[in-house]
Amino acid sequence: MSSGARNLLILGFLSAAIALTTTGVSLAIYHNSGDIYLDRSRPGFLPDDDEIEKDKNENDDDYKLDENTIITTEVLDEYLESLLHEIENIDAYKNPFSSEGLSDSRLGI
Amino acid sequence: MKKFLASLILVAAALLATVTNLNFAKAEASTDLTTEQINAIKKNCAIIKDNLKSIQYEDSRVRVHLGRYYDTVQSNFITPLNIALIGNNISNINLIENQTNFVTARSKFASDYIAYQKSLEELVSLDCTIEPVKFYNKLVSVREKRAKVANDTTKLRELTEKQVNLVTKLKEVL
Repeated sequence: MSSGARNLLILGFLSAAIALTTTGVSLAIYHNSGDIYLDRSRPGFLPDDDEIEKDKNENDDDYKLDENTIITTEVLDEYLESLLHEIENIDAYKNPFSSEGLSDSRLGI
Repeated sequence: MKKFLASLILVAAALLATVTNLNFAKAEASTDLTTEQINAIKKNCAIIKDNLKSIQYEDSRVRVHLGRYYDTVQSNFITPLNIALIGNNISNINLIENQTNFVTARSKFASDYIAYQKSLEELVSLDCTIEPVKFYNKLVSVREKRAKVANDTTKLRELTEKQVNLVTKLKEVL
């Protein structure tokens, strides 16, 4: 084998080793940082079609207080009405992460 | 050249070894299980794991939706109001304090959720037909972490409610 071919082979192996190492490091960081648990784009955790549609409709209705607004009772009335609507959205999830979810009976133990 | 290659391979191997997550089992509270419970775990292992996986999925769905609502409350309500109050030369230390508490509570919710999910994933990876007692002990630990997440959501709900009360009081003095 010529020295050029040998060097090319070494370069190939080196590139593969570097690629594998950096991929491994990236995946380890992704896993260890906890981002993997916040990521819903991974297989098995993708949102359903009706969830996507619902999310789109909710985003269209989003209220945001203008930071440059003059604070009046009317502004605060609108603010409170919208904030109470958000609380209703939060309350739709009754007892989130309750102990019932991991109870013996629920799991089948 | 050969020495360089050899040292490079050694460095790569060492790097891979250090980033590999070698989780040595921490000491966990031991739970007394009856023979009946142990047999039930072994017998229903597949069903239990399926249920755990569906809980994982459901929890991630709830986390995303609640997380979005908390983000909306902070970004669209709490923070802009405090900025607007400064612009209007209105001082309200309680609202500023509520914002700080809300930010802290959100951060805690995220970190507790990650710890809970990590633990749940470790639980799902255990073989309950071979190690039912270890599995159940891990389940107890996961339940504790889940309870923390539940407390965080309660805290965030209380802070959101507090925001309503504080703004109502502010409206009265305007």
